Parts: sequence; C-alpha cells; structure tokens
Amino acid sequence: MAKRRDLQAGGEGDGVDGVGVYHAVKGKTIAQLLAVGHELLSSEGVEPAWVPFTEAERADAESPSA
Amino acid sequence: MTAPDPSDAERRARLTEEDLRRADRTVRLAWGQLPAAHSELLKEIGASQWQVVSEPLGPVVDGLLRSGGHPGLSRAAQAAMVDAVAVWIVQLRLMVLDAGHESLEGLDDRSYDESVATTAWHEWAHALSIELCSREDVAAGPRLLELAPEGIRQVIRGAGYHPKQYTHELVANVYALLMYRRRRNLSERPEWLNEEIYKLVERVTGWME
Repeated sequence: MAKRRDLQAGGEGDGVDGVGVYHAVKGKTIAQLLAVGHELLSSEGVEPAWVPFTEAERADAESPSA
Repeated sequence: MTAPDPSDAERRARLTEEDLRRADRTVRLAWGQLPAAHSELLKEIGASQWQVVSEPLGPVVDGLLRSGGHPGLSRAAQAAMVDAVAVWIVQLRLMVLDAGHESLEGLDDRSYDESVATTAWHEWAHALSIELCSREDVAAGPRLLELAPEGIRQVIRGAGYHPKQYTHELVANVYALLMYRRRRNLSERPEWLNEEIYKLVERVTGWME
C-alpha cells in the first residue's frame, strides 16, 4: 500500500510553503482583531459597536438565490 | 497529539442542529454583506463554498483533504489547528467554520454575529490574497507589517506567523476591519491605514470604494 505523504503546517496554521494546504485562524486572534478594530474605530470618532444585521438582510440571506 | 479536552467534548455534545444552522445563517449573512464585485471575484476563483462543522478542525480538515484525494494532515498539523475557529483549505477552495469552538460559546447574538462574520471575512480575504498576491507582495510582508497600525502588528506577530505569511495576514485582517467599517457606511480609506497597504487590499480584493 502506498504510503501517504502527510502535510506539515507551520505558524498559526499555514500550509506548505505558507500557502499550500490551509490557512486557519484562532478564535483568540479574531477576538484580538475585534478589540483592535474597536480601538481604531474609536480613534476615528466612530462608535466601535457592531451594527446588527437587519431583518431585511436576514430575509435576503434566507432567500433561495442567496 | 494532546489528549482531548473533556470540557471541549462536553461543550460539543451540547451543540444542536439549530446551533449549526445559526452558524451557517451567520456566514451566509456575512457573505451577503460582501460588495457584489468581491463575491463575484470569490466565485470566479471557486472560493464561494463553506461548511459549518461541530468537530475540531484538525481531524475535519484531514478527513476533507483525504476525501478529496489529497494528502492528509500530519498529527502535528492537526494538533497545531486545535485552537482554530475557521480554516481556508486552499486545495479544496473551501472555508470551514467550527461552530463548536469555545470562542463562540455564551456570546449574545450581537457578539456572535460580530465574531462569525469577522471570521468569515478574514478567511475569504485569505482566499483572494493567496490567489492574487504576487511574489513581490509576499516578499514585502515584513516591510508592510511595519507600516500597519500597532494593534494589527501585534495581532500578527503574536500569532506566530512566518514572515512569508505577513502580507496574507495583513490583507485578511485589514479586509475584515474594512468590512466591519462598511457596516457603518464607511468605505473610504481610514486615516489609520497606510496608503500602500490600502492599495494592496484594493488590488487584491477589488476594494474600490
């Protein structure tokens, strides 16, 4: 039986040669990115709060053509 | 490979079909927020598919790769993915989100949507970045990182990425934040973003607003 070549990964989840297999992101990294984003928005004088999806957007996402 | 975390298994055992549907709906909502040109570009490169799962991503990605006729992931690679909430699988052109990830547990609706949408935007930007960045763009990563806002630099450096990944990470993180701003009807270049990085994101993702 042929032996499979298992692929290796490095960094936070980068594949062979950095891009060859997959690119993963940690939940912690997203949380940190959001915190940074909130700070940057504040620095612009923009309220750093998520704008909730509207009912219309939710309806669009549910439509068959979405 | 590290032993399974009992609390992780318990949390995943509590996941319901509705939890998975909720995650899928939220990714779909995030997709719907993309400017039409971006979603068309993602479709053109075959990167418009996603899958929501309830299992840790290492074994899931290994299984998906092998099912697709590709080499699987080593145990070390699977273990390295233990904290991942989402992954872009290059060969399969598929984004996979772990709806059972601990970072999504206990969030109110607003925070949940914010986290899942930002994650999806991040991964879709990776799809574009990996496809469309040139070798020169990748080589410029360490220099470009120095031009990024301090917080973004820290996020990228703190995650332990290889310098060859810096450009892709910059594009993914900046794009996710630009999409976040777009929810507030802000789509021009923010003052905190260096013009060269903005032009890179424009070129790679088609950001033209």
